[in-house]
Amino acid sequence: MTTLTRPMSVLGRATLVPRAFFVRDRRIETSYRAGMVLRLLASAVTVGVFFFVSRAFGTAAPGLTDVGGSYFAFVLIGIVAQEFLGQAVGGFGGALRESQTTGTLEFMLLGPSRLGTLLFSSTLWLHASAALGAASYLILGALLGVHFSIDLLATALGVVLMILGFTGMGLLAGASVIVVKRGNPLGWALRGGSVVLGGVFYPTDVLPPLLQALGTLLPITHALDVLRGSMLAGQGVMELAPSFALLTVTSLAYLAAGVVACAAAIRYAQVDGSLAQY
Amino acid sequence: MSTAIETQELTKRFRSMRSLRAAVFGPRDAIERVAVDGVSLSIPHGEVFGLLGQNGAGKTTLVRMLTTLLIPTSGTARIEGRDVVGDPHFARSRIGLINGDERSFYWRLTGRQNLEFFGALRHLDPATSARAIDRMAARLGMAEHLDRPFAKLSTGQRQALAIIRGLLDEPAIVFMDEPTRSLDPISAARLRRFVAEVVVGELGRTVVLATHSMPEAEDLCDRLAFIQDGRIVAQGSVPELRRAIGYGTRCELRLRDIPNGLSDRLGRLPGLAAITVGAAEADAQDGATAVVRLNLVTDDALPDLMRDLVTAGVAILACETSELSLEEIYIRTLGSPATSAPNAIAVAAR
Repeated sequence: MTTLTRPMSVLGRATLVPRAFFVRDRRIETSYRAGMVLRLLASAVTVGVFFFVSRAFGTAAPGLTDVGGSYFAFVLIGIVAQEFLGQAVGGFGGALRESQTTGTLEFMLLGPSRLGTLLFSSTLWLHASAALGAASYLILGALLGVHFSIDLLATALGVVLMILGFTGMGLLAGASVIVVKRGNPLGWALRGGSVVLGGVFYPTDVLPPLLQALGTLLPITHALDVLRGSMLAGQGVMELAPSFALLTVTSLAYLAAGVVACAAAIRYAQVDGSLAQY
Repeated sequence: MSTAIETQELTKRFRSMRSLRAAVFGPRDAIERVAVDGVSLSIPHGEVFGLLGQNGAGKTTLVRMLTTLLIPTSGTARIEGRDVVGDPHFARSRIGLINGDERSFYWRLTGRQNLEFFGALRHLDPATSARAIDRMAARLGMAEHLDRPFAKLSTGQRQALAIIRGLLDEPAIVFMDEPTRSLDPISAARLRRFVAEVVVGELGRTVVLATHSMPEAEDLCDRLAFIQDGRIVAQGSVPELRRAIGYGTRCELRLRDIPNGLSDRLGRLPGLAAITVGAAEADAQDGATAVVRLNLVTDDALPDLMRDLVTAGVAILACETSELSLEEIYIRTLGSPATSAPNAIAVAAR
C-alpha cells in the first residue's frame, strides 16, 4: 500500500464534510420511500384542513388585515415556518440521540473536523428537507387560491435568518439530549413554546400581554412577521426593518447559545463517558 | 525509535449513579469508581502494544482517553508529544480507531456509502477514499460485499468494514479495541493475519491492541501490559514477563537409576524455581522410573543440571523443555488481586 494524499483544494476541503453529511442524510431519508409518500399525504391533509377551517371562520378573524384578510394564507405561512422548526429542533435532537446510542457520534468526533463544522453539517439535510416540505405546502396553498405577492430578497433573507435561529434551538435541544440521554424535553418545550407564543396558527395580538412579551423572545415570532409581510404583502427589507432587526438579534442569540451549549454538552459527555450510550 | 504514545499517571474516575442523598452527604470517594488508576506507559513508533485484562479492567477506558473520546480525571496522555486534552485535533489527525462494536455504522447505507462518509470525516477526497476502500476491501475479501446494505452483512463482514474505516487514511497510530470480540475463529485469524501483514508489516504503524484474547496478543504484540482494576500490573515483552514471574523455562526429565537424595541435591541448584519429582508410570516403555518436572529461571541452568545428573550416575532417557504460554503468565500474574503500584512487577521497556 502507498501513502495516501489528502485533498489540496481549499474549497473542496471546506465543503467536503458538509457534502458528506448532506449525502449521507439524503441517502438515509430516501431509503424510507413509504415515509416520504406519507409525509406528502400528511402535508396535503394539513393544508386541506386549514383551507376548510379558513372557509368557515377565516375572514372574520381579527389581526389579519396585513395579510389581505385571509386566514388560510396567514396559517399557511405559519405551517411553513413550523416545518422548518420541526426539522431543526426535533430532527436534530433525534439524530444526535441516535448517533449517541449507535456509537456513530464517537466516530464523527474522532475525525480532525471542528465541532462547529460537524454541527453545521449535521443540519444541512434537515433544512433542505424542510424546504422541500415547505415548498409542497406553498404549492398546495397556491392551488387552493392563496395569492402570493413576494419580495424575493426579503423572503430569502428572512428564511436564512429564521433557519439560523431554529438551528440554534436545535443545537440547544441536541445539547439537552446528550446530557439527559432520554427523549428531547427541551426540544419539545422550544417547539411547543414557539407554536403557542409565536403566532403560527393565530396572530400574537390575541395573546395576553405577558405571553406576547415571551413570544418576542422567540425567532419564529419575528420570522413570521417577516415572511407574512414579504410573501403575502410584498413588503421589502426596509419596510420590515424592525422585524428583521428583532429576528436577527433573537436568531443569533439562539445560535450562539446553541453552539456553546452543544460544545459544553459534548465536553460533559467526554468527562462522563457517555458519548456512546449503548 | 521516537515515542508515539506516552502517559503519566493517567487516571479516570467515574461518578457512580447513587441516590441524591448519598451524593450530597456521602463521602466523595464513595460516589466515584476508579476505572484507570495512575497508568504510565511509553510506546515507541512502530510497536504493537497489547493491553490485556479481564472485562472491566480498564482497557477500553484507557483507549478512549488516548483517542480523545474521554477526558482524563488526572495525569497526562500524549500522542507524538502533544497532549490529547490540550490539542485533541492533532491527536485525532494521527490516530485511527477500530472497535469491536458492529453497531457504529449507518444500517440503511451500504458498506461503501458508510466508508465514503467516514472517509470524508477524515478529510479524504472522494477519489482517494474510493481507492483506499477498494484496496483494503480486496485485501480483506470484502470487495463483493461493499455495495450491500450494512444491515445485511454478517458480523465478520461488519468487522471488516470497521477495520477499513479505522485505516482509511492510514493513520500513524491505530487503536484496536477488542477487534475480534464477536468473530468466529477463522474470521479472527484472518483479521490477525491482515493486521500482521498489512498494518504492521507493510505500513509499519504503531498499534495499541486492547484484548482479552491470548492468541491474538501473543501473535501480534511486541510488548504487553496486564491491566487489573485499572492498574498496570506488569508490562514488557513476553520473555520479559516470563522472567518477571520466575518461570522462564519448564523442563520435564524422564530418568532411571536415581540415587537417594537427588531431589534435595537438585533443589539446591542455582537457577531453579521449582521442582517436583514423581514416579514414572508403571509400564513405562522407556524404562523410566521417575519423572522430574523443573522450572528453570533461565535456560543457562539446564546444562549445569544435566551435568550434575550424569555425574551422579543418573540415566537421562528424555528431556523436554517448554516455555510458559502467555495465558499461563497472565493467569499467574493476575491470579491474585492487583498489587499496589509500587509493588507491581515492572519490566523496563526495551
